[in-house]
Amino acid sequence: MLEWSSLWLTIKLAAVTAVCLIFIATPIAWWLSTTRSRWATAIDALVAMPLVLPPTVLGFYFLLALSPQSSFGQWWLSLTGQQLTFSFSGLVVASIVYSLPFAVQPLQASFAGIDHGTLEAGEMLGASPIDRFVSLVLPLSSRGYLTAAILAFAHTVGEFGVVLMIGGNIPGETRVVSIAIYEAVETLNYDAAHTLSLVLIGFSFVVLALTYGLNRHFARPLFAHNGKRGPKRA
Amino acid sequence: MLELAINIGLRKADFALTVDKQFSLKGIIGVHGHSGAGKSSLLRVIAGLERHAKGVVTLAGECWQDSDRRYVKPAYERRIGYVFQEPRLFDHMDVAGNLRYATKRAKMASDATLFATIVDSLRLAHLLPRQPSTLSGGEQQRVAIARALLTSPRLLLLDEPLSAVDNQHKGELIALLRKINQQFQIPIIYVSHSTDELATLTDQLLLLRDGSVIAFDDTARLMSRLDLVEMSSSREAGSVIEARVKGYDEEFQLTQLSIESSVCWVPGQVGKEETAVRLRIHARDVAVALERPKGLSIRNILPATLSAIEMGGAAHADVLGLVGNQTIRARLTRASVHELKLEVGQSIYLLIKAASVEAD
Repeated sequence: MLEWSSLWLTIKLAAVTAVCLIFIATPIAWWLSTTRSRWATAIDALVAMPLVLPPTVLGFYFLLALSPQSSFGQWWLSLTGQQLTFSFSGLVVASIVYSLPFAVQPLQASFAGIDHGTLEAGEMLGASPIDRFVSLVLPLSSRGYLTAAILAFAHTVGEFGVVLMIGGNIPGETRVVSIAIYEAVETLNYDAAHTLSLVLIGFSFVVLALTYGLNRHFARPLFAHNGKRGPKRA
Repeated sequence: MLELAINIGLRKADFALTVDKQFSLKGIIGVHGHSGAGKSSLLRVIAGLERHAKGVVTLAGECWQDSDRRYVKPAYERRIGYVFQEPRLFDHMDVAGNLRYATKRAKMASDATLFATIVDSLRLAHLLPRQPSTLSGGEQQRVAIARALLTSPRLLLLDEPLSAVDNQHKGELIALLRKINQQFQIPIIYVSHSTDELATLTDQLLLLRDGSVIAFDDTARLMSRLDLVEMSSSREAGSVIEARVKGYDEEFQLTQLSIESSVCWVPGQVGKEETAVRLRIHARDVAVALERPKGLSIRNILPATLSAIEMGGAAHADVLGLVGNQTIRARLTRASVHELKLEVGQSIYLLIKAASVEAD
């Protein structure tokens, strides 16, 4: 007996989170990789915080921040008519923060690896800053984007503590696979726990293997600097 | 004609550039100086890539930079073609993609004929589908030059574009640059540490030392100055001479040139009769005699008047000989100057062993 709804919910949560994170992480990573501001170190540390904090700490503060009693929660409630705690939207918001470093750091490394001279060349050819970002930075860091998306997705699939704290266990709304497995084990339903766990193991492996394989195959020629690694297309 | 006025102070970690100069942008202006003299920084100021420079830059009356008003016209709106020391091609596009990147952003309506003309004159047609990383240094630099030209720039800035190009292809690229300058009527500012390149290519020369302008003059005149260490110290020191083609000797394959009222022979056939050519003569290839020598393998013996002597610190001494109103530099030893008792105003003969010729 396989619980499709929690599987589907997990994938949906991870996908929505990854897509949102790409857009949110891009300006943060760009700023961090180009700024000389003295705040950069502090922002670097802040972005990396979810890496070291126990998910329960994040979950606890999210519970307070997103609840309808808080000003943000109230504003969200008046805007959408829904509360953020114990809802899918709330899980997305929390997952975005929870997985932020996994999206920002690969992008930051990618951006930092782009030769400033290449961008100057683009500027002298008449490209405005936004134009340079779209026509040069994006394609030259597509490998970083792929890594960021995979890691954000994968990390969200593995989320447990934060969901437990702010999402609870509402089927179809917040009951993701990790919660379903936890409950199955708690109720000594080992068969269900096995099935879900094995599906998750298989799924994770296939997704990761596929994307890393793609990365290996297609990303290299795109990023062959100096022509040392790329295949020759004469 | 474009008037470029620069009054700029730029401070960097290890040096400072201070330039207050006006230029009429015509022909090819060379920028020379030892490394660290500020050549590249000057180009970057003109391009608009040094936003923190203090001072004012104007082109044809239009303000490009004014630090007092905190105004910098963005580089991408200046319509300047910039060829960097490294080709800086975009590796994620093929050659055609690199060129189209420029045409798409050209401020002037780009037409297909310009593209074809530039691709043709830089001989890039067969390279269009290639990836930049598979090209040789010279090919990459040709693509970079074409790419800069395709933005239909008002001014072309070249920063040591031939430094990564092998000697064999340098000559052809220099000829191409002269052609571009004439064909497209685009003024060029050309930075180089090689006096040979500057002698064959430039009409005027700007000399930088420690971030300041030391001299700005016609290339031939500036190269014949003995007081500038940049013009004297290198093995490439020499002169630029205007000559006229008089004829070609088929049997010995020599071209006869006239320099003022004297005759000079150079190997190979250069230019048609009565065309003006530019002669590059290295000081190390010129010897001095007090009488017209006989029984000598050197064919080019030009009567001249000794106009200046500069004793070097070491064994060498440079002297200038005036042929008509053109100056030829000769590199001798101090011992010879002493032995021959050379004096300014003396009549001498310049013996020229070899000369490289650039046909205009």
